Amino acid sequence: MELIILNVLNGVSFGAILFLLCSGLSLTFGVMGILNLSHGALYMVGAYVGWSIAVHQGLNFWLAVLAGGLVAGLLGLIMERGFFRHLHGMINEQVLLTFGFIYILTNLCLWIWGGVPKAPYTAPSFSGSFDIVGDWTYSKARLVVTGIGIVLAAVLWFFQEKTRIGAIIRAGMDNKEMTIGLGINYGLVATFVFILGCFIAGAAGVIGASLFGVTLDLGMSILLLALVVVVVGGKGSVQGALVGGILIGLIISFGKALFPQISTFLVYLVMIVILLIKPSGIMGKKVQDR
Amino acid sequence: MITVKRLYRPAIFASYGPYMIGLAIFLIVPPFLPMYVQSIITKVAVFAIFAMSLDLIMGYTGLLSLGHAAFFGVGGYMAAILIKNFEITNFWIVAPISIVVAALFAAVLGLIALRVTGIYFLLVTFALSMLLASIALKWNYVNGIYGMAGIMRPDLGLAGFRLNHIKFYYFVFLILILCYFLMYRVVNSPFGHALRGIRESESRMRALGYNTWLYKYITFIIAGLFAGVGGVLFTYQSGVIAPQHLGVTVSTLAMLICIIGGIGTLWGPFVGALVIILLEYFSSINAPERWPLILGGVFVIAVMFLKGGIAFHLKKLWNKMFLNGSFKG
Amino acid sequence: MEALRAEKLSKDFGGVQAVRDISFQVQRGEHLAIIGPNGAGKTTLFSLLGGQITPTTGRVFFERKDITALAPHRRVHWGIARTFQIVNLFSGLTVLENIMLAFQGTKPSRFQLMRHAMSYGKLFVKVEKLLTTMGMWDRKDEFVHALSYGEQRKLEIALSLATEPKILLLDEPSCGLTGAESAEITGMINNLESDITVIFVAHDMDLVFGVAQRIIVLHYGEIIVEGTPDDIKNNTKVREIYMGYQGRAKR
Repeated sequence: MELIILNVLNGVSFGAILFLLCSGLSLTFGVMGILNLSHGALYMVGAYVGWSIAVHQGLNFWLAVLAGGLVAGLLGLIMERGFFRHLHGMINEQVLLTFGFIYILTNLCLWIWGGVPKAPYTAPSFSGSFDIVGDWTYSKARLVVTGIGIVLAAVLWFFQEKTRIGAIIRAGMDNKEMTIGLGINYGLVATFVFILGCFIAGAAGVIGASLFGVTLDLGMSILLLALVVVVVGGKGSVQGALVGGILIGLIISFGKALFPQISTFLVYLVMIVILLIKPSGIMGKKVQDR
Repeated sequence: MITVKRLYRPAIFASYGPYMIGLAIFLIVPPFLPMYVQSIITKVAVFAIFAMSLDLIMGYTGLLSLGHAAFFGVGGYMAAILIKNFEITNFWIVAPISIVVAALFAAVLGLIALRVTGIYFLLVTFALSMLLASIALKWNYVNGIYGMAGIMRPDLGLAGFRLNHIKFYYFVFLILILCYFLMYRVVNSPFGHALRGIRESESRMRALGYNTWLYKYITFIIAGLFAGVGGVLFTYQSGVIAPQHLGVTVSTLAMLICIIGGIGTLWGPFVGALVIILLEYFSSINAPERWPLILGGVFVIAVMFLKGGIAFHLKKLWNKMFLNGSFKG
Repeated sequence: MEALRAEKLSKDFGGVQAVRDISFQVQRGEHLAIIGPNGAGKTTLFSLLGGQITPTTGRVFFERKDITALAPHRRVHWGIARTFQIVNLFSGLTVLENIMLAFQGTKPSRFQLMRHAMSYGKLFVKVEKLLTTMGMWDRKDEFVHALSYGEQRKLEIALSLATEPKILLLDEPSCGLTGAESAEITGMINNLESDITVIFVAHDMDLVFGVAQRIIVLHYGEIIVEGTPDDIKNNTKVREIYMGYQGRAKR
């Protein structure tokens, strides 16, 4: 019983973290139709930038979060303005390009920060852990990350449901041509969303550094997690990303406890099953066939 | 129909010239090259086969697969398992079994992947190949994360006929020509034309009486089969097959080779493989640390500036010189 | 002889009934027009006949055989071909390749893997004949995206003719064409072999009255009037709908 409670707790908090990782990807995928495979690489860049500021320079942790987000957002601006807008509707090329960015960003990080992984870091006040049930402890950093995930979910939900830009985004996902026809500068909104998504990825890199550390293979491993969550939750929906994140979080934590050998295998299996049953995701709208 | 022949077979040299010159270079020059360069161009031939097979589904049918390496890897692993775990050395037993197994995998995975379309097809193929990679990673029978190493060049079953470097090159090149020929026949057949139709408009193809799903499924299997050929030869050529060869990195490498060479042509992937593998080689000499950066740069250049690929531009140039600029496609 | 019969066809789209209880039948060789204001369910009805969507209730018969559940590509083999309101061609291929694909679609050789697609001499003769009657033979090597809009519309019809159909479903064949081009389409349909049944949807009244032997008027997914062109011309209900519709459009 304790094991179940602990795993549920772990799973939910892990889910919140996954939400943090994938919300940006989900937004850009949903709004622009661009599947940004370099999302994980942006996360990694954020984690490295945050390390430089919070650990190397010893500055404030929240400053590091901001800096990580800004650098990733800037990279996103370059990607969108410099490349993606010239590849409108060319899915093949877009996917390939974002994969090229993974190579470039990973190698640049290697160049700047070296190949030795950095230890996990967080704000000094978040380190350590506290007791819960019996001799099980729970790390404070994990709780903080979970909290940030929930706050972000609330903010994004508010943004998408209650603001004008959010309304344009929802309209655009329903019918892009019509939205543009109404005289709305959808391109600008899309750019904004893309940069916002990249910003979240970079900031998430710093916030999640306490759990995932800072290594060069983050680019791929985070991408895989984020993709799975987006597929399960459905693209472009905040609620979907949250539900998908928690579901995958539960699967991973139970999977690790019960079948440690095949937990990654399980994640892919879930992804495939969802894609086959309902490609638009659990919370997504049904896609029109034929 | 004589008129048909005249319409579609212009002067032999003008239309086949570039192929003949290319063929001549790759047949005559290699023996005079240093041994390591010979093994590099062998690798070019291997990746050309693999990329061509991807081009069947990507360039001709218009399906974006991010998991094509699955069949490359399965072919390679099967060969390695037969050689290492079953101690079968005869190439003529190892290769056919491995290729058939790769095609069988394609037949099964195709049933799953072809239930969805568009970007979801990309995601399913991606997940399926990563699924296989994650199995290979944990499976001790195939040596887990380390992969299977120490595989020798093939033994062709004739007494004392274990291939040396240059003979192995010619052997692989011969298989490349054979694969090219077969795929050439496929893409120019009514079946191949139907694939292009599906790429252009699947709904229209259905309205013309084509069972488009079946076409896509058969093509997926054919592409898996040739990817398996590439995988088997890769295992022999490099001596290693490891979990990452099943994964997304190798799939995107093949995609890049196709795009840089020119998708929707068969010799484009060959040109692409030549460019990429040679670049990798020069980078490994001059700046091994920076290879991913260069590769990423090539991705960007290929996508942004090489619309249609090198093959397209070469052909345009050739036609300008020998066909008085009358240029189609 | 009965060519096609619809029996109480209905189609729901998430609670909205696009087509309601439609029954009609067409004789072989007949030219039937389906008209009605935008949103009357004409294209939905067409997709039900062509098999692109399946009806919620009701059945479709082709020469007295039930084809309600038959996949669209199978219907083509039975002899039902359709065109699309929005031009749906293989724009990256040449005119010749487009037509070859269309001819090959109903032949067993469509699965042939090894023989060159352009080596089918008999088909080629047919292609030449069809394109010549269409007046497009000299355009055969053009890419479709390089054709004018009028030529694309003609090719749209040529593709469905190439499947050698018994029933031709034409969805707005003259949509967006000039008067002269539209007259050309009218002539083309009237010159079809007499045993080909034509069912078509159109807004262009010159085309409707120039081609149709019988007209069905759809409104809000239901058949409100059915009759000869003269009946329809003098029908007050039809006038009301069209006048009302035009009145709305002006506002």
